[in-house]
Order: sequence, then C-alpha cells, then structure tokens
Amino acid sequence: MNDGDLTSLLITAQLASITTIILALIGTPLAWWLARTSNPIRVLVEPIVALPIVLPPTVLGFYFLMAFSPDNFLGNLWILLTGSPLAFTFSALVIGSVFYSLPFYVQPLQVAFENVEQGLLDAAATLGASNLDSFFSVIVPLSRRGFVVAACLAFAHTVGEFGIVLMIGGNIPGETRVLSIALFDHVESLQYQNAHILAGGLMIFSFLLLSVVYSLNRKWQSR
Amino acid sequence: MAIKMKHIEAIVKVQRASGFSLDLDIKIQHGDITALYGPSGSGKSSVLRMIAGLEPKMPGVKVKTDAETWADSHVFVPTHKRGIGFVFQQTQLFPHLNVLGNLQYALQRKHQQSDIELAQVKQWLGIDAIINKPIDELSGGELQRVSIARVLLNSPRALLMDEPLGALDQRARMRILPYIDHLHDRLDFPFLYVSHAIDEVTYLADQIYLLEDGRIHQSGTTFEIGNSLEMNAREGDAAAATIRCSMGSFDEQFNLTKLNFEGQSIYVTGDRRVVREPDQNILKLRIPARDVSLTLGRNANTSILNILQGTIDQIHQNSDGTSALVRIKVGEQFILSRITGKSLTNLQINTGSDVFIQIKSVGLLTEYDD
Repeated sequence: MNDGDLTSLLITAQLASITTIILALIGTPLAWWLARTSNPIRVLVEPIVALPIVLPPTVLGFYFLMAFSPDNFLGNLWILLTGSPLAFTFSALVIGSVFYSLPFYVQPLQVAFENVEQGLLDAAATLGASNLDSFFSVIVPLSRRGFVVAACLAFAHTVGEFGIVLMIGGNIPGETRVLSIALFDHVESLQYQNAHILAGGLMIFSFLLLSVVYSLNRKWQSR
Repeated sequence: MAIKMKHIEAIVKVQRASGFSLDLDIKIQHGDITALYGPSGSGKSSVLRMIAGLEPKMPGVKVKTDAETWADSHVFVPTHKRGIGFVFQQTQLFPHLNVLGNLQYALQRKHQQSDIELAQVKQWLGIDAIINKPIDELSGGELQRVSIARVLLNSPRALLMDEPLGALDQRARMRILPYIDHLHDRLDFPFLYVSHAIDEVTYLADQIYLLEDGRIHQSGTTFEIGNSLEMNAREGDAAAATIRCSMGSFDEQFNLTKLNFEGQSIYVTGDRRVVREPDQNILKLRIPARDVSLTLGRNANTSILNILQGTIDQIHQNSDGTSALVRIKVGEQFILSRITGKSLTNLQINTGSDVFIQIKSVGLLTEYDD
C-alpha cells in the first residue's frame, strides 16, 4: 500500500467514525421518536429517512452540491461561519455521509426500540424514572443489539460510499480522497496491483464487520 | 419530612367514540384496601391507569389527593412524579436485570424517605433464595412476589394493583394473597386493588366498588356487600361467604382444630394453631354456598360436623325459580347457602326464620387442596 492509499485509509476511517458518532447523536433520538410517536408527520419523515436506500447516490450528491454552493443558503452560511467554502471539503463529506447513512443507523434502532414493551416503560415511570432516566436505564440496555447493528451498518456503509463522495468531495488527496475513490483512480490508471490491495482490503473489512453483527445477533437472540 | 397521603379521589366522566364510557367517582382512603371489582371490560384497569397517569391526558379525568391535584383540565402530573406504586398483572420486571437488580432499581428511585430495608422485604415476600436469579427463570408466583417487593422498596405514597394474581394458577394465587393482606397490616397509605375475582376481593378488601359498564353499581364495606346476594348471585358456583374466625383448640385424637365463630364452633381438619402469617389469631374462611345446606331442626344423625344456628336474612331466587341463594345471619356475620327451588318451597323459610346450617366442607381461604 503506498503513502497516498494510506492517507486515504485514514481519511476513510475518520469520516466513518465521525459520521457514526454524529448519527448516534441525532439518529438515536430520531429513531426513538419514530418508534413511539403517533404524530402524523411521521409518514413524511420515515420516507425521507429511507430515501438514500433507493436513490442513486449521485442524486443526493447533486442536491448537496447545489446546497453547498456559496450562492445558496447553506453554503453561504458556512462561509459566514468559517470563512471558507464548504464544497469539496472533508466537512462536506461528513454532512453528506450523515444523510446518506442515516437509514442504516435509524432503521435497525427503530425496530429495536419498537420491540421494547410499553409495559416496561410504564413500570419504570411508576418506579419514579423520568423519561430520560428510563431511556438510559431500560431502553438502551434492552436495545443494545440494535445499537451495535446500527453503528456497524452506518460505519460500514460510510466506508463503502462512492457516488456521493465523488459529487461533493471531489478527489482531493489528503482531504477528500477516500478509499473507494482511490480504488477508482487506480483502476482508471490501470494500476491493478494497487487496486487489488484496496478492493481486497475493503472486502475483508466488510466481511469481518458483518460477521461481528451476525454473531452478536445470534448471541443475544436468546435474551 | 414525608407527608402521608390520606386519600386519592378520581372523578371520571369520559365518553369515547367507540361507545365505551366511564362515569364514576371513587375515593381511596388510607389504611384500607379499596377494591375495584367488576367483569372484564367494565373499565377497572382504565380507571387505575388514569390514577397512575399512564393514560394520556384527556378531558373529563380528575384525579386529586388530599394535598395535590394530579389531573384536571389544566394540570397533568406525569407518572414518575405522582409517587405511586403500581403492581401489574404481567409484573413488568426488567428482563435485563436479575431479581436483585430489579429491587435495586426501585431502591435507587425511592418516592420518599423511608426506613424500609431490602433484608426486611426479602423476608416478608420469601425471595431470599431467588435473589440472584435471572427474571426468565422465575415461576409465575415468584415473578409476582418480586414485583411486589420491587414496589415496596420504592417506598410509594400509595399503592395500586391491577389484577396482580390474574396470570397465576389457583395454587399460586392462594399463596400470594396472604402476602398482600400482610402489607395492608403494615403499610398505611391509600391502597387500590383491581380484580375480577370475588374471592380475592372479599378476602382482602375493606371497601368495595362494584363496577359495571363504566359505572359504580354498588359500593360499601366488604361486610355490607362482599357477602351480598346481589354480588354473589352472578358468581354461580363461585358464590361463597367469607367469614372470620378466631383460633380455638386442637383435638389431637381426631386431628381437628376448633375455631370460634360468633360464639359457635367450626371444625377444620389438621392442626391450624400454627398458621402462616399475616395474622396469627384471626383466620379467614371461605365457605362455598353450594356446600351449605339448611334444616329446620338440629339433625343429630348426620355425618356433618359443622352445624351452626342462624337466622334467614335474605333470599334471592333465580329467574326460573329452580334454585335460590339464601343469606343467613350468624351473630354479626353471614353465611350463604345455595339450595334448590323445591327445597325452598318444602322448607317454607322466610326472612327471619331460624334455621340450622350444615356445612359440608370448610377450607381456609389461603389453602389449596392438591
């Protein structure tokens, strides 16, 4: 693996980690809300969350690119706040990845939350637990499988993204060139040796991560 | 610091589109067990959940205590701030914690300062041996005992129980009833017990509200209505009188224990002098109406051991006249007898008639024959 690929590996790991952390912060309450709400806007929110599953990543990438442009609100706001444009930066990749991987985090967690019996929450409330207390003392421990699956899928999916990264990140070494892009470059320039290393590495990584998910599934199934 | 709750009052007037409606006013005084009794679908559990704040806020529901308002058209205090203990039919023990973990969960979130201790509660409810077991290894009776222990350790200011024995078999039910009765002796707060089982209600409760189609059909002390013909007539074979006896002597030769009942004697088999808690001296007996027959004179030539003297208090004939439920007053208490319509005609008894009561079998309420 050459130095450039090593840098891409670091950027990819960073991107996936930061994305997963942000998803944990915003995706968890969203999953909880979707699992419990009877609010009618739910029927709008659920498909929006699920859009990245069906849309070509380039569609999302295109809209993000538009939004990040200094002529538009988001891009303009970013310049006001940070002094530099948003498009083709690592931050742009993070924003794009959060949306792109959102369903992979929210959906497994939502299912896990829906499986927590309301009766247990009623019991926690009568025992004096506030909503926040019962979230951490009842819901989180009973949904731990959902959390692990959600985090693994969101991480793996971020590592695996390509189209959206290409659209909003460009291909800047050391900034936005992630592994999937680096692989594409190697193939374009007929460096099959390097391409093999990256492709094989990503394959093994994904396989191992999914093995963890499925073995945890099995282990906790009996509970 | 902790101020004792004296009563809870719920005034509910709710009309749902589905046709289900509730229109009632119940008051739960401290020191008593108040029972909300009625068939399934009568609205009992809904009322209980409204008192606990587990039903969403809705107009027409007013819940207040002697000092606080929990729910009315402006106020809605969330469940965790009401300070109530709630025992669920399905126990709702936390599956991710073991028995001890469930108890500690409650201890860490006490509703008020109290000197209640884990060791004490473990002993009351007999759960020492299972304290480290995971929840999914407990039997139905054990689950419910742990859930009651959990509620007690939470030091609630009032206690609500929703069919706590509803999921148990007869044997487990009869084992747990004394534990609940026992609580009542030690804890002085409003205590509401919801059930559709007449034997539980008459055994435990001091006050009974009889709920039907969302309305209070009858209410009063257990003494007044627990042994009433109206309440028992609908019970068929389960119709029974609950009586209280005090401990007498044990006859070793015949293996019988003599109990004192309103100045007369009732014999039960076995040595009952050592009785389980809660009450060492007063025994509650439940006498099924179908096991009681009536005669006009004392019949000396009979194998029946328990013969009491009493006065006919009320007679309730069923609609086709084939059978009747008769209430006989003995001292200050009542015995019920189910007799055929023909017997009623033959005996020519009326309210005020003196009769002899023959009791075929007597069981302690908290005992179950194998």
